[in-house]
Amino acid sequence: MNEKKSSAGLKLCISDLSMSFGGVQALEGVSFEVEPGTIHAIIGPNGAGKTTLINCISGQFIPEGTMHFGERELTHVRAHNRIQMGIARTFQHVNVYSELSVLDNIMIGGHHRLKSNWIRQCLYWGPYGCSREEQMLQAEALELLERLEMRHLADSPAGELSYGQQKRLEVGRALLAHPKLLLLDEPMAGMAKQEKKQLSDWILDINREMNITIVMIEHDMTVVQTLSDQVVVLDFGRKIAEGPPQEVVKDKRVRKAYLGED
Amino acid sequence: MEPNLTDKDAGTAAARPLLETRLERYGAVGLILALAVGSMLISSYHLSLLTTITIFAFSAMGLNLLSGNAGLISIAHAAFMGLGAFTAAWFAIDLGIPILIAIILAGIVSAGVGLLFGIPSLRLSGLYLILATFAAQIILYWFFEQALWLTKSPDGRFVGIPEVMGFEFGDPWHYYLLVLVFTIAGAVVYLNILRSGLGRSLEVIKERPIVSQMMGVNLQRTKLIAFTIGHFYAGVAGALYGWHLQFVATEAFDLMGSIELLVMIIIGGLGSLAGAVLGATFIVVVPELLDMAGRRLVDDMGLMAPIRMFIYGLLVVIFLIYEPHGLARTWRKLVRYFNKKLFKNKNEH
Amino acid sequence: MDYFAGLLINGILVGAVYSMVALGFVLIYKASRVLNFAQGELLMIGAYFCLELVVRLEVGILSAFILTLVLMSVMAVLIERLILRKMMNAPVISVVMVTIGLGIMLRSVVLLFWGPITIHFPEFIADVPFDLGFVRVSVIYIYGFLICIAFMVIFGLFFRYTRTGLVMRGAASSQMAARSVGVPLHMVFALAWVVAAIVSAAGGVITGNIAGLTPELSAYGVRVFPAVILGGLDSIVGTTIAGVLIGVMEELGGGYLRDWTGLSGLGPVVPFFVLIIVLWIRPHGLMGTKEIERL
Repeated sequence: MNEKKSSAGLKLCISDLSMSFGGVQALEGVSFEVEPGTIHAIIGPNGAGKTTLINCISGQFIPEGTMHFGERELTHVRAHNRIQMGIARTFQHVNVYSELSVLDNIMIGGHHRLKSNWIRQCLYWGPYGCSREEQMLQAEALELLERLEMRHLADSPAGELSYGQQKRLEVGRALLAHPKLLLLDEPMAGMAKQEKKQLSDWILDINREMNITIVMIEHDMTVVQTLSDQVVVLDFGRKIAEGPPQEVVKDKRVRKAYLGED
Repeated sequence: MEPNLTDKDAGTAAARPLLETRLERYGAVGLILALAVGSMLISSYHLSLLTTITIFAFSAMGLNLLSGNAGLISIAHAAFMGLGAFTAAWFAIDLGIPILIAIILAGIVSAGVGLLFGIPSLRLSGLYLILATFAAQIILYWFFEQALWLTKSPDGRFVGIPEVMGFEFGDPWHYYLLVLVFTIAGAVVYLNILRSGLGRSLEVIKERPIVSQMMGVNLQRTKLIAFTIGHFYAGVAGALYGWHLQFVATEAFDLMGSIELLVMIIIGGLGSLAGAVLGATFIVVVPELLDMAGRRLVDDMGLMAPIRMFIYGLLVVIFLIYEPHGLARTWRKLVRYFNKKLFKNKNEH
Repeated sequence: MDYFAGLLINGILVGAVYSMVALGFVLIYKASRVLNFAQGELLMIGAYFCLELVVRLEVGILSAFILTLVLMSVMAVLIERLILRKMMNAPVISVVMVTIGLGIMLRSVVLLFWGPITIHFPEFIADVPFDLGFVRVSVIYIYGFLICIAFMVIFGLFFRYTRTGLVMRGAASSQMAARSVGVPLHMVFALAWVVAAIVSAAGGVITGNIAGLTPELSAYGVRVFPAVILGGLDSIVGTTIAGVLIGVMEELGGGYLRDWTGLSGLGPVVPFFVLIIVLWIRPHGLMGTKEIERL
């Protein structure tokens, strides 16, 4: 793949995506494109199919329709290989490994970059061991924890962290994968205003400084308006509007389906 | 493709040590020396017990990796030990392959057959694997009774005194040292796995398999590796056990044997080396103590076996309810406490 | 022909007992996601209770049978209360092991009080062969079979038509639903254990009357695993059919394969080969639902 700096980025093209679970149509003919380097928000009422969409992109479900990331067709790439292509994600409900240490949790994000096979991992030391790359990954993980202001927690079990810390840890875990595209499923859910502000700034940093394209599901319209370049609105599995946030807010159907409920 | 982890990324982080604390490091060296020397001094009966403990600790490491770390519960570990014991004997005696190679080959055969029975679990949740391994236990045991080309008699076969490169292990102490070397090697590999990416991937597929897939862990591959390594340990342990008793008894590898191995890692502690070692020690020593006590207290020896069995079952239930993390957790707390006391200020981290 | 018919009839009867025991197993699994490895021990201890009542206390067989079921229900509630309720949030391996530990304890109790020998029930029906037209069957087989059918029909109706029964069937999949119908969850779990104990004990009494009692009866618990998997782990109807199938397979396998292959002891092993093959090609069994793993 391209060795160039990721500023070139890869475009995500979703076209005509459909997904149903036992007769319930979760997604129906959804199409949109995400330009590299942008922040894309997906909004919609509960049950609109937002998380299903993210699950399709990250490989948990196999939908009908096509998804392209750059040149490559994604639909039949197995879930664990998508992170290698540069797609990492966080989850709506916190999904850290509660029994593992914070450090191990974050290092899993870099798992796909470890090249040693299992026999070398059993040996660990020596020219055929894996100690070198383990050490590198650990150093990088610790550095990232420093930036997350969680360095002092590295050895504690992730289950003991506060909710906000676990959410941050998940973002960190995804970042250690060196993604080109980051999928955030309600990163701000359940956070206080101050925390939201902090996380918003941080998401902007990730987007601008690290040059990572972001697709995020978010309910808070203030956050959506400040952060996102483009908004896709889903309702009952269909895309009902798309565009820059200022325009989408004015859309009648959107007001009726979504904002009207507020 | 992302740049690989290269030297320029190297930061200040030290590699993870084999053992976490200084106390454990000194303790491990001390323990090995004590075992090597002490085993020379004790009675042959106690030496035999010690050898059994050491072999079962080795076997329990494999099961702990499989069931404790990766969460792939197997009720057939003893049967795979049996498979290792019989194939090693067959390789060494019937085919004349040198014993050390035969032992390794036995491990490989066990690993291969283990994979076969593990395949259904690649797509299914853990409950199905429990039943699949149960079937493995029944089928393998039946196979031992039927395949006389391998096992010589339904009850088992004699394997004689092991001989490595012209050296006869006629002295049980010498054989114990051989077992100890294998077990130390097994322990080092186990610890290496735990501190590497492999150990991490085993742990994460246990807790959140689907999330782990999306974090880049190949679920099927990781499970296959766990089966391979876990059953390799079983095969090698079985081979060592055969030559320890100089008779491979089919009976030793029945369902109860497999359950005992599971009890070892549960009482010892899931997912840790200390768990495997403490569990094996506990399971071998406690019945001995019960027997000693029983000889004084119970007149009718016929009653002894069921009483022992009852206490055994009761212990399992009580441990699971009141000490679900096993002896290893208490052990760990003690180690940390004394490590702090003994090596103040000297520890990194 | 007689040989075949004999094996077949025997297989169907053994299979009917398997169906009952498997029903108990599936019920506990469905209600609480517990794989109960002590199912066979429940069967065994139930049979010994009944024997004790009949032989030592000289209770009539019918009253003894009913008393046994009552005793077993009490024991089931105790087991659920004292052990399994404490394991509600424990990992799978611990729950499996706790039932294994329980099984070991029950077996040791039987060994302690009754020993390892085979004990026979006093004959309470004259053992006259019953002519089915093409084959003659011992009359006690017919009784046993009818009792199995009766139990299965009763519980089938219970699951289909009572609210509690419906909740029990669905409790594992939606514990919320159980609450909303107003049946406390722990009641559902306890009830599942009670039913499982009752059907197992009934199976134990029937088997014990035919073949005599030994601690080996506990092996029935694990011999139903193939039936459970073949039936699809969570399907009650599937399990019932699979139980009979497995029974027939064992008998025919033991009867014919021995002559063909020269291997002995194949009967009890055949179902386990079937289990592995089912897991390979059709893991959700004959009638089970495909399990959807969710985050």
